[in-house]
Amino acid sequence: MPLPGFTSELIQIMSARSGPAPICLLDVLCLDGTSYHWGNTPITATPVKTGTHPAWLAGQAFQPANYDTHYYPWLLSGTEFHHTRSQQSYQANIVVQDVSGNTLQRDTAGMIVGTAFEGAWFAFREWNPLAQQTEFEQHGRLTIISVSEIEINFGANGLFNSNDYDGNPYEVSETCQWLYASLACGDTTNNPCQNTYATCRIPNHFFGYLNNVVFTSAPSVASVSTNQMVRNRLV
Amino acid sequence: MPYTDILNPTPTHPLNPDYGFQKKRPVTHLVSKANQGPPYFRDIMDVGHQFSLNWADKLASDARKLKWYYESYRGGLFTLVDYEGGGRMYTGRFSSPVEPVPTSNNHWTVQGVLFDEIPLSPMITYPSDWADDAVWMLTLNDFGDRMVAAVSGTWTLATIAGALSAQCFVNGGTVTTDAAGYVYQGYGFQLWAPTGPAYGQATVLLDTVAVGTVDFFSSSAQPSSSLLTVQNVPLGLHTLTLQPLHAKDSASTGYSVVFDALQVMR
Repeated sequence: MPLPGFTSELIQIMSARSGPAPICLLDVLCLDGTSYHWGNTPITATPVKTGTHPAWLAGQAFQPANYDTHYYPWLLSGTEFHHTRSQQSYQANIVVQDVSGNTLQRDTAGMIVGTAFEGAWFAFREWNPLAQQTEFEQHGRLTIISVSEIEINFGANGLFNSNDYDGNPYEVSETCQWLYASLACGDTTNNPCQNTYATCRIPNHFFGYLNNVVFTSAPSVASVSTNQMVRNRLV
Repeated sequence: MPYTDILNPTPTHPLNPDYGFQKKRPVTHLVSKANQGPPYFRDIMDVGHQFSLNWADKLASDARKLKWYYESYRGGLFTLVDYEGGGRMYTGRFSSPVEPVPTSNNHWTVQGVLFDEIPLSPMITYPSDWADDAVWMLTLNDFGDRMVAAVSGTWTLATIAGALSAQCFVNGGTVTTDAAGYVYQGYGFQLWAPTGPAYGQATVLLDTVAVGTVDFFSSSAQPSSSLLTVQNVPLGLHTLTLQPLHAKDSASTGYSVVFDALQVMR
């Protein structure tokens, strides 16, 4: 995600020599549609996204006036967020408390069991309480790293991780990459080609790049480039 | 467990700690400073007061009661009264164990018990000694940083005679969605501002809840005074928001509202 646009007011507040530290806010939207809003202080703020309220909420003695805008003070830390200009992948670390609840069932541990947190969408923000604007915002997906009776560690991955996707199985080549006589090739003469365009019998199925250079007029010596060019031909 | 349970309800109660106890406030802000230049600091947490308490030569029953307070309120809150400090109350609990040591026949001593004040806890009586315990929060701090943010709308710095801040934060007062914000660590607050014949009215919100209306009008220009006191606020990080009402006294000639200073209870 790009950095949010900073207003001149936010820049002035952020650059002051003193003032309150930013507050970390975490919105989580799980795969089953439930949403959670956690911060490192109990605060009311506008969420990035909302979802259905978890069943856990119904059994709680404390009921916030508005669950969607109330941030429970459960977020212990959010670290190792990086922004890069490349497709370099990274995993940030988000730690949530797992002490509240009862002796048999911790609050957060119960949510981990009862909710689809693996792959849940999240938005992590550093919120400037004075300017009431976002200083930093990162969206991504959570993965559960560890669950203890004290805290829960989430890995926070970016929305796009090039390692998660298969690359193109084909090469940029002048060689046709279809298997001879396959459905994609389409030739039925039972006479294998040499995977070149010149030997192709179904040229409209040819799966390669044509690299023939055709001069339509005889160039003069003056118009011929004198720069040396190296061209590697596969065939 | 109730915060209304007072450990030492009277000045002569046997569970009063030995006076002269250490009163400590943990560091709640980061400080950094270049070799040459002013310091920089950020408020990072809302930890309450900490007291290191001793009880010398107590009866066995008193020592047992102290131990009971530690055991009973590990998951709760009780109130400690600082009679030496003017009777100010603190809501919290013992965070270190009570370990009575016999000193003579039926005489026990308890030493070094930490009492931790717990932020955001309700209190029987909120602190109210504005002269001794409250601190000033001005629009501009001594380093020249503006501590009030224009959350929405146009707010300008202006020098006003009789104001506490070198420059106040002023809004035209005609747009009710305009807002200025101030964030502080503490309990309640008093809003101070100069008044005059051309000022309007504003509403004050604390943590998004309206806590009062302020009228900046007076028939003649007056120096800054306390216009609103909100005392019963638990210790914590609080956001105060000033929003113009686009309303004014019938005798006023304008709607402008002013943010000058806060007195914050600490």
